[in-house]
Amino acid sequence: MKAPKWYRKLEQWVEGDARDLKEPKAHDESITESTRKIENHNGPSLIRASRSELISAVSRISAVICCFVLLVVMMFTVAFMPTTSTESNVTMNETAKRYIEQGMDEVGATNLVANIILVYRGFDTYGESCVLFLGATAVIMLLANDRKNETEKDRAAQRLSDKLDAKIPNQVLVDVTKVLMPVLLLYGAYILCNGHLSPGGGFAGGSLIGGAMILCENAYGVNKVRTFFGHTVYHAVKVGALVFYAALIMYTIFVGSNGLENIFPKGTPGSLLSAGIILPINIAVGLEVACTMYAFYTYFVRGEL
Amino acid sequence: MVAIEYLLLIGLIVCAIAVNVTKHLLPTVIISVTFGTMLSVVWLLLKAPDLAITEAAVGVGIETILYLMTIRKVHHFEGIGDETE
Repeated sequence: MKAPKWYRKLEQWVEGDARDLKEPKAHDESITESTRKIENHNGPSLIRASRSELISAVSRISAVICCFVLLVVMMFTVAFMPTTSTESNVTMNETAKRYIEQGMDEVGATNLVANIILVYRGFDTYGESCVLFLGATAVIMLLANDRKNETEKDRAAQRLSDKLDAKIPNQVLVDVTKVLMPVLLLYGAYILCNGHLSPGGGFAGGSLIGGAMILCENAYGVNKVRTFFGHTVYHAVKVGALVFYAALIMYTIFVGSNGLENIFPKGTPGSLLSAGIILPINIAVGLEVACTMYAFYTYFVRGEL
Repeated sequence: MVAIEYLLLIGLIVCAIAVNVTKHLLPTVIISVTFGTMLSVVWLLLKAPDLAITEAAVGVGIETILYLMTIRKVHHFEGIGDETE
């Protein structure tokens, strides 16, 4: 069973060089051969096939079968999913209609998406923020420099990498950063603060600010960023934003479920200071996301902030 | 406008297959960036600007940086970190 010529050509084009091409090919050949042996079910040839080949062939076939079974089960399940927006399914229609018709009056933001994800479904979004926090924590656990266990080779490689970065001043990057970074920061802040009026919000604005900080780190070196965003600031902002968010969302849930008066004013829809808790929540989420993005980057590059 | 949408959707499928087929790491990253860019335009055409902004910032910007940094960390690029041996 040889692959057609055009496929081999495509494979060669994709692989780029013949060095990687030889080994997997031979492997594939043996696999198909052993598979054929099992399919033919000839006794002696089956015994002759080596044990490891047999095991790998069986595992491959069982993987394919498992995939197909899963596919069939999922397709079958999809057929039984409740359909949305039909006359027979009133409960689903009611929620969506209420969000669209009364969302602006009840919450006060003209951006309905912000209404839904930050107030009606605020608890879910809080969970997402916690996932980001956990992700950053896991990255720190895995990639942070371990002073006790690192070898001299690791340190030398890190020093060399830093030296290479410092040695080659990338004038294009520096000039572009000079123009781009203020615009990025301003745009990120705009998206953050206008999350309840226009598309955007915490996640988008926060990742823009994080990207601007990564750009600054690339162009000017880590010591420049450390002057305003070091270890202490990172932990304070990150934990502070999450705690602030948790307090706000808990307060909203408590007040809403007990039918009490909310102290955050709704204001007039469309003005900047309106929509109650959405603006502070957006800012908290944005700070959280910006910190997480920058922390991901720095821990991937050098294992410390 | 519909033609652009179909073009982008076909491009998405092509990119998604190409990411799986390509064996070298740097082209894979670049193809996935292409995928993200087209996806963000598709979100915009489907009237989901929130998602479009987030996709453009995270899927195109941050994700690429993280992939490139990981490739550099495992010394796939030749000439970086190999001189110490």
